[in-house]
Amino acid sequence: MIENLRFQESFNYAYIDEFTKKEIRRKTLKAVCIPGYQVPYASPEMPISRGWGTGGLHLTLSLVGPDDTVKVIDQGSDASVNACNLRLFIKEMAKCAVTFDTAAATIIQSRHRVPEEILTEKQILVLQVPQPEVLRRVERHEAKTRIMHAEADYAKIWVTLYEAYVRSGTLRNGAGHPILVNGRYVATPSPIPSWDVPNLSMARCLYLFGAGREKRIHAIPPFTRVEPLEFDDIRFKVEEFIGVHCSASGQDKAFMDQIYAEDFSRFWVINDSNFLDKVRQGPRPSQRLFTNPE
Amino acid sequence: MSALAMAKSYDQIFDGQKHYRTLLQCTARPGMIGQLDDVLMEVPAPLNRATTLIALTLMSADSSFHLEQSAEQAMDLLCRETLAKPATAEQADFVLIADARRFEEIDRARTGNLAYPEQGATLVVQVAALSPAPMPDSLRLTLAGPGIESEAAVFVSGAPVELFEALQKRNVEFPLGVDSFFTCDSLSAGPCVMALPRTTRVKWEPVSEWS
Repeated sequence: MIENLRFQESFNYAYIDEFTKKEIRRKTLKAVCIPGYQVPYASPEMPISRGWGTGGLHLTLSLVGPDDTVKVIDQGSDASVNACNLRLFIKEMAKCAVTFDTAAATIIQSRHRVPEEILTEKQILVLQVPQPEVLRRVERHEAKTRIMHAEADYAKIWVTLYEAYVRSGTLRNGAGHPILVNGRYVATPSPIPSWDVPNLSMARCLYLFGAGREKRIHAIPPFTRVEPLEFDDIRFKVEEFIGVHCSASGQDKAFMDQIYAEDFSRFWVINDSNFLDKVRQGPRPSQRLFTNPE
Repeated sequence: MSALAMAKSYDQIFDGQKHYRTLLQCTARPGMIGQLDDVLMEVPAPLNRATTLIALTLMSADSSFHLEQSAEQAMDLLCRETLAKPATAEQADFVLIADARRFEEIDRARTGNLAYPEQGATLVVQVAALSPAPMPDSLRLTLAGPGIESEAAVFVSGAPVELFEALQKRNVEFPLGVDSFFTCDSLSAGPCVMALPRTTRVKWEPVSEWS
């Protein structure tokens, strides 16, 4: 067997030096104090490229201790290349336990999904965010978006929602529906599907969002009001999987992936890999399900 | 915890990590009283152990702190161990209030600006005791806001009503404001901390008798 020499004792515990960790920690605390506000931070160099999960990695490594159990998911899957590499890196650097089991993890680092299973008080969900600035699509200049946030001037984001409705007949504009956090800041939930957005509101766990390339941290504390932006007459809706069942488990009421077979026929499978394992093996874990308004 | 288990000196990596997680949980859930594992350490007056542990966890050479001028030994300890710089109350990132009865620094602490509200100071206020249960001569704080499901109650002794009035005045213009940690050293539980971020709405009433 080839010995992995890359991770031998030449780095500080959890890779990042203590001085830099303290900075991330101070900024994370401020992010929790001002829900939805993006706190700038130093975003130190990592052995992976910016934009590949460094923000999530900074948060996870500043949180993790030897008693923690870490789970890493990428688009719902524990087994994708990115998730495997990050998990191995965190495990080797922090000497912590790792798991696939959502319920057993104390820190969950995720890209593009919130787990289906309800998270508890003891858990922290760290989300990797490619573009934390929800206003960037409508305003190029950082100085101006800062003023817009300061003045709670979100008119332009409402216009994009209106335009999405005019074009497509729904408010959905790809993943990452804009959210209003605690009635003050409009933020991005990171590119999670609309299916996951209602789970951010009044949750029992703490949500931390790290954007390494953009050097921003924001947070949603537990039991915080999070409202997806919607109009009085045109309401926010989650994805509907009508008449669709998971081909691996026969179950429904979970976020589904559509998969093409070689003969171009299509089938569906539950996206959250650990949730899929659990529904196949035993009782279905409890979920928070959102009912679309009429 | 036995005296033997306590007899270890401060480890900046692992104690710092554990204490940070406690501070993060407390900040995310205002009203929760977190226990910081005690370590073998001489703490000069007027600092208590919990405040010192918070300083060791969060302060570094790129942050500044304010502490009353008379506390020379305590200043030395903080400068030496964290490399943070002393500053005036108007400029400091961390404003340490050694005695909750003398809280005039609250009115001078930074609240940030609208573009950068995170530049508001972090206050660390030392009180006589914190408890989830009523104590004689204490204030009952009723808390609501992010992090709290409906309402949380916590009892603080050794802090005057005026302190919470001053805090409320400072935090009236969200997102501007100051975030506070309240600390005490409890005989039974060791160094304890409770957080009141700027988003928490606080109501208070005095508890005069034992109930």
